[in-house]
Amino acid sequence: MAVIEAIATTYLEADVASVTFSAIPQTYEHLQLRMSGKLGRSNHEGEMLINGVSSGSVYSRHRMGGSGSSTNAWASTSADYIVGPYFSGTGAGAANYAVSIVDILDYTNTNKNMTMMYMTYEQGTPNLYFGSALWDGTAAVTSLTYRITPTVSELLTRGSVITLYGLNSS
Amino acid sequence: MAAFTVIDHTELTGATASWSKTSIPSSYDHLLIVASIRSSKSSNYDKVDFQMGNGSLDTGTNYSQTTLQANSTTPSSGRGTGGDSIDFIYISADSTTADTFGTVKIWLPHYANTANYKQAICTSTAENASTTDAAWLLNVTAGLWQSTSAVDAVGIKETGDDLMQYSTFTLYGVTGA
Repeated sequence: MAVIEAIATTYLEADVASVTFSAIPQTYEHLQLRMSGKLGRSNHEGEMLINGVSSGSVYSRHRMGGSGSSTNAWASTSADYIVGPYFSGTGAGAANYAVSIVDILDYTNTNKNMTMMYMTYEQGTPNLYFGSALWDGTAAVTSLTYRITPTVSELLTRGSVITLYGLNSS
Repeated sequence: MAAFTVIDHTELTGATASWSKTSIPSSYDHLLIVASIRSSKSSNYDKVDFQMGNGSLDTGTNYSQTTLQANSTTPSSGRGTGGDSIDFIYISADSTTADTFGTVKIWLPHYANTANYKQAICTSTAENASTTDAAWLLNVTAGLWQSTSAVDAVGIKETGDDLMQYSTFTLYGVTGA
C-alpha cells in the first residue's frame, strides 16, 4: 500500500458550477487537495463546503497574502462557506490558472473540528496566499465541494483540475 | 521504491509535554513532519519548540529562524538567533474554539547530509472562530540548525504546558529517484 494514494481527479472538460468529491474513504489519516483552477468571473473567490454544509454560520477563514510589494491579511467567522483556496478570476488572463495545495489533517477524527491549511498562488494578478479554515463540526469529513457562489451565473472554467489524495499513517 | 514511507505515527492518548522520534534511518532524502496539535495553555495560541539532533535532540543554542506571520490584518516578519529550538511554530491553544487543533508541516530537506547546516521549512496555523487580533495566527518559518551532523532525531515540545490528547504526529521519509 502506497503512503500517498490518489483518491480521485476531476478535470473540467466544460465549465461547471461545482466539483464534489463524495464518499471519501475513511481509511486514510490525512487528505490533500492539489488544485489548478479558474473562475468565469472577475472575483477570484471560489467557495468550499465540508460534507455539503452551506448554512449555520459554522465556518471561519483566515488568510495572509502578498501582491507585489504589499502585504495583507484577513479574518472572517460565522460564514456559510470557506473562502480560500482560490481560483484565478478572469482578470488574471486566459491562460493563468491559480494553483493550490490544501492539507486536511485527521479528517476522520471525531474528537476534532475540521481544519485546513492551504497555499495558493494566483498567476497574472499576482497574489500569493497562505491561509487556514475551520469547520466547527467534529463529524468525519466524507465530502468536499468546490463551487462558484450560487448567486452568480458564471462557472468554474474548463481546464480546471482538482486531485484529492489520501495520506496513510502506517 | 515508494517515494513516501511512514517512519512514525503517534496519537496522544493523554496530555503530554512532548513528542520525539530517535534512531531515524539515514536512507531517505528528506523528512516531513505532519502534525495536528492543541496546547493546554490558557491562551488563543501557543508556540511549540522544534528540535533536531544526532543521537539525541540538541538543546544547545544552535538554532536560528526567520518568520512571516499574521495575527491581525497586518502581517509581520521576525528573526531569532542563538535559540535552543525553532519555536516560531504556532498551534491552537485551550482558549480557542473547542476541539480545534493547529496544523503544522515541517520539511527537513537533505537531513542526513554531513556537509551543510540543516534547514527546516515550517508552516503552521492556529485556527479559532474569531476575527479578534491575536486570537488566531498564521505562520511560515525558515529554521536553521547550525550543525553538519546528520539528523537522526526530531522532536516537538511544549514548554510549561502540554500537548493535548488527540494531538497527532506523522513522520514521513521521502525518497528521491
